[in-house]
Amino acid sequence: MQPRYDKLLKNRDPAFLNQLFEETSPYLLKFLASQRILGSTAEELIQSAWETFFAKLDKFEGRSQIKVFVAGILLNKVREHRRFQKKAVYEEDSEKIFQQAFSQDGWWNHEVEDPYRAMESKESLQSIQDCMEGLSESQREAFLLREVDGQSTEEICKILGVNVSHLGVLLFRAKDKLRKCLEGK
Amino acid sequence: MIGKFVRKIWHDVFYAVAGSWGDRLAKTCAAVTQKTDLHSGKRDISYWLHLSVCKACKNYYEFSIYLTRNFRDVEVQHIEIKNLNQRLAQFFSSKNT
Repeated sequence: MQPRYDKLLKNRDPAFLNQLFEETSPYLLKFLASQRILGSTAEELIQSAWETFFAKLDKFEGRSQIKVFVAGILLNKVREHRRFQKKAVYEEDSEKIFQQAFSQDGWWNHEVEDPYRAMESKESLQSIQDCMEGLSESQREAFLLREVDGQSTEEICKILGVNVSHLGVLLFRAKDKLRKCLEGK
Repeated sequence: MIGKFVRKIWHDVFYAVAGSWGDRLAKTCAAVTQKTDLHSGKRDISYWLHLSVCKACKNYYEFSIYLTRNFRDVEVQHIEIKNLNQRLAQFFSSKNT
């Protein structure tokens, strides 16, 4: 990390912190809003994430953006929050499901049907958010990090601690589940 | 049906005849799906060519676009950002005293 920022963070320079919060808050709030975590709950989770960030400042080496680093911490806070609310969905073998979707030479085993039924709902976002309850933690996180702020593949892999191949599998399985759920609505 | 047939021939010819060169020109459905999901690398002519003849991959792509468009609608109110920033500023400045 640049020594200048290191000092500003350690000293909790107010002007620097205000700028930091202004830059990151919209993204973090949108990330939570996508999961229908709003209001004071969202504020508490974000504040908690920042508290953890400052407590572990020595572990932040500046190789990723602060926003990305804090997003990773926030993910853990959301996981704890969902487990507390008993909303967690068990993890499944997404790799196996991805491999089963394609033949050995890379063709679809079962062709993806026209998604018109999934897309025709007028309350689209709400329906998608309802269906997201059926995703496992890792699938939901991968999907949201991709869709909410269009984070790069590299940054998402850093946040989730997965390789590119596994990220692809998680995204595939998330979309597969969402499509099936939306078609059933 | 014709599109699927053409795609299969295209795939088989290039993988059988062109060898490693075929990989650049005749993407598999699995590779196209990963490219749709990961947004990584350039979506070159072979990607769009595959989508033009493969209904299944085209369906997958259209559904992906649909999901992305919906999440663009997620908005955060200015007042929410302001409230949060005030809260954070207050909390962390009190940590300095």
